[in-house]
Amino acid sequence: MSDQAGSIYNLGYQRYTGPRLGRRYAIRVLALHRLRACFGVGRPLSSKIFPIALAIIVMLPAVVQLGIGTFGNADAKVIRPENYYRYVGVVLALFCAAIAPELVSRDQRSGTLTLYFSRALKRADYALANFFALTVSLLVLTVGPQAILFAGNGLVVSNPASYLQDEWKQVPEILASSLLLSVMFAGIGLSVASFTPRRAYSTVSVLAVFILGSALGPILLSVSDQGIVRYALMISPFHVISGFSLWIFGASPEGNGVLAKADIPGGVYALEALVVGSVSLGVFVRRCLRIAT
Amino acid sequence: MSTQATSQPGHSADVVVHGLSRWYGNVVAVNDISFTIGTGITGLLGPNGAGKSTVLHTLSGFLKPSAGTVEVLGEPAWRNPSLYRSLGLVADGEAVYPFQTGREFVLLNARLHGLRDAVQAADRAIAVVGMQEAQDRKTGGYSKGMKQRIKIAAAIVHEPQVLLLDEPFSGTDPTQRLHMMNSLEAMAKQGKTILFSSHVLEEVERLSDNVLVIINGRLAASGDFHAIRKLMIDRPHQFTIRSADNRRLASALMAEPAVSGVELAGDAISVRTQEFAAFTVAAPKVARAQNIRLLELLPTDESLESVFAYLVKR
Amino acid sequence: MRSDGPIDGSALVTASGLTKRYPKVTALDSLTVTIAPGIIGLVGPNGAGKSTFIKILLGLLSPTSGTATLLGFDATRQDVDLRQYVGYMPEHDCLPLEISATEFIVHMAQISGLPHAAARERAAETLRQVGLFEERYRQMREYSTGMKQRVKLAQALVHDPRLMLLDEPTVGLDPGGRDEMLDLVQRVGREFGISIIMSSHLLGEIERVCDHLMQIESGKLVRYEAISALTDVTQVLTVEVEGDVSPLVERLRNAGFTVQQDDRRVHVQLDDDRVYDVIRDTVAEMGMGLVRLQQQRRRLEEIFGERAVV
Repeated sequence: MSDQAGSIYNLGYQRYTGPRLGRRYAIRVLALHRLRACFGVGRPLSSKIFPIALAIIVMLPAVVQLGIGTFGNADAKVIRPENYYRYVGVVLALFCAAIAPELVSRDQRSGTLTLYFSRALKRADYALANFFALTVSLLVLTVGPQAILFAGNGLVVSNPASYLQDEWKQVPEILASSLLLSVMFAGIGLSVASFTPRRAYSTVSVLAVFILGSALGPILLSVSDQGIVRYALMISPFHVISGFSLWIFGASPEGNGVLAKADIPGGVYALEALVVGSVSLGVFVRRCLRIAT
Repeated sequence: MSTQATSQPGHSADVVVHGLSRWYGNVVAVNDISFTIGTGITGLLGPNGAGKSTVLHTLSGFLKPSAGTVEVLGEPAWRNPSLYRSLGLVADGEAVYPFQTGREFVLLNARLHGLRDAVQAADRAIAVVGMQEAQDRKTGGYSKGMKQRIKIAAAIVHEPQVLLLDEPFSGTDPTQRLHMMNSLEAMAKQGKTILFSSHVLEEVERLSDNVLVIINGRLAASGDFHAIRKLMIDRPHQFTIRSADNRRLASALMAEPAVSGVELAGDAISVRTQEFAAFTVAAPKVARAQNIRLLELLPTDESLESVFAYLVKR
Repeated sequence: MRSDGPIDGSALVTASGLTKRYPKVTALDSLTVTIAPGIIGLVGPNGAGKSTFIKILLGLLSPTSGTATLLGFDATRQDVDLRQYVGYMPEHDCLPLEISATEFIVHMAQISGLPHAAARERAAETLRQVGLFEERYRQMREYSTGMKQRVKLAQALVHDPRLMLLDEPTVGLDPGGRDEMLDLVQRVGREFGISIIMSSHLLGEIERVCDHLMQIESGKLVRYEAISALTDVTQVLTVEVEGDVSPLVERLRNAGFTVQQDDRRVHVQLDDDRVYDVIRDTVAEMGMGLVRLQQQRRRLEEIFGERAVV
């Protein structure tokens, strides 16, 4: 070696002899990739603006409440964990409507879906990776502000230690309500968006489901608040999330509000969220299984 | 300076283009092209973005020349609807209504042309392209090759004198292609003028009597490509020869003035010459004089592909 | 150079009674074939079942009945593992245009099971091999058709597959682009030692690049043969000269040879090797220019009834 004046190195094709990490690795890679795509990480600014803006808006009520607590009356709990989603439900729906098409309509439009399906993944894996990504993103947007609220409230109080002792129960409550919301919204968003390759149509369709449902529910309720008809409120996603939030945090609906009128047990809303989430996930998976490539 | 080309001297010049230029702002798509096309089949070749589509669009009257003239059957092509009685056009892209059957589509075109025997004309056209079996199915369910053929049927239903085709064979399988080529050849024999553009040189080689090669918006060559090849005198010709004694033949050939280089390559000799004609006469003489049996003699760079590659590089 | 064999040394692809039925049409009808490693051309009319066959091999479709194995893996039951060793280049557009080629190829490599570091290295190498240089960092939106085809090829190649399935790889490319793509395919098959199954409508391409031919029609296998067997030499010698060819024809006929004249060319039955010398001597004596002397080969077009370009 040291005697040689020079060498020519082989730049020809090299076989790959390293490890091939298989399906689970591929799913993990895709899931993380999709999660980053939800917030436009690794993309130009235009992909980041919308999700980041929505994330900021989602935090605002928490910040407002902390402001009230700090500079005003520490006991005036205008914005509370159990009614937080009433203020931000629309924002979360917007996030869904914008991001779900990015995840699933885009791949159909560009034809990239074929390439994914011809790799070390099953079709259902693709669906689940996307569902994971959108759910986690929504969790960030739901747990985040709640965490700010929780921590902030603790800080303004005179005795933080006793605050923790009294209020620790909120932690699992926050997690549970956030999870239910995320699963339900992610399911709705992805299942609707997966049916069309055009992102604009997907966005509008997802929004339509949320808005029409939320408008229709109270209208049907106003027809009659007796008997079976009042369960019509369950088609309204925003009321459903308020419903189970109140139930989880052990509060009751406002006396003259729509929820009180419907008088549906809170647990039913929670169950519904789970069912809607699971069924829509099933629809989404089935769509991925059947889509032609 | 414009390059002049005449493809069929003595035949009627159905398409006459003179000094054609077309620009979009600073982008010159077609730069001072002139040519004439008569009866028979002419192939239009060129790399992507070279200006082929632009030329076809001006010939079909959809695009106005920025400079120069484009005349089809003696009349300017631009915005000349009466020309369509004698002009048929098969464009790239999906211009068929998916809810119509193939037959309806062709019949519609026949009626739009005001043919009195529209039904018979449609039948004839559909038979020419071999779509009788599929004519009653909706075109939405056609494969790409079938769509192509039905579009051709619609374009020939009024038996136009001039037919322009943009990539007519894309998506067709060998059998469909053969059928379509036979139909086009039959039409050419009847005296029609056909111009088609293609990326596939084999198709052009097989079908065209003449070619037009457009590169970077300019006409790089035209005519019979064998003839074009002979004109490329600034490029040495290459021949491959196999014989009973290659080495001895090689050294004998090297002594010939027409030969500029000889190489032994495997079981053959590769010969370079600047003088095509002189070499072809010298080679058998040399072999005979040396009493060496000649087994094979081939010009190695005669294909249209080779000619085309050369033109692009110029 | 023969390609390296699959994982367990068995045939590249086997299909046994492979059938795919739809409500209105049977795409594949009990197809049975054993394909050896190499470069295989897949031909057949539109709708004959070529794409269906490829998709079943990839696990993108499941067969109605019958089995298929690929590189020793069962195509239906072991499809995920199998796909780590297979590359697919679809005919349709499949690139996400808003990202760069590099980013895309690295991602695809990982989804095929390569660890991140290896994915990055191989992506860079593969892009070099397909001929994409500085442009690989730009968004694919800005790429020409030729560049996009190269990226498509690169994503099929980056994870070092044992087999690549190419569906009409030269569609939409201009002659220069086609030439380069075919050269690439040939390099991959012959130098890199990766088996290739390539479907195409252009028999010239298949003749140029492939060593075997598989023909499907109406969902059935028509033939699977070596191309050399289909293009072997005939007993006809073709002669082309500059100038008037009739003296040559006359001399050959007088010498007792069967001669056919076709425009500028003369076709002689090769009954006897003396023909070569008679031709040489006649042409030399008469001072004619000998432009072509060639033993005719069968062409693939003849399978489909096309006249070969002589």
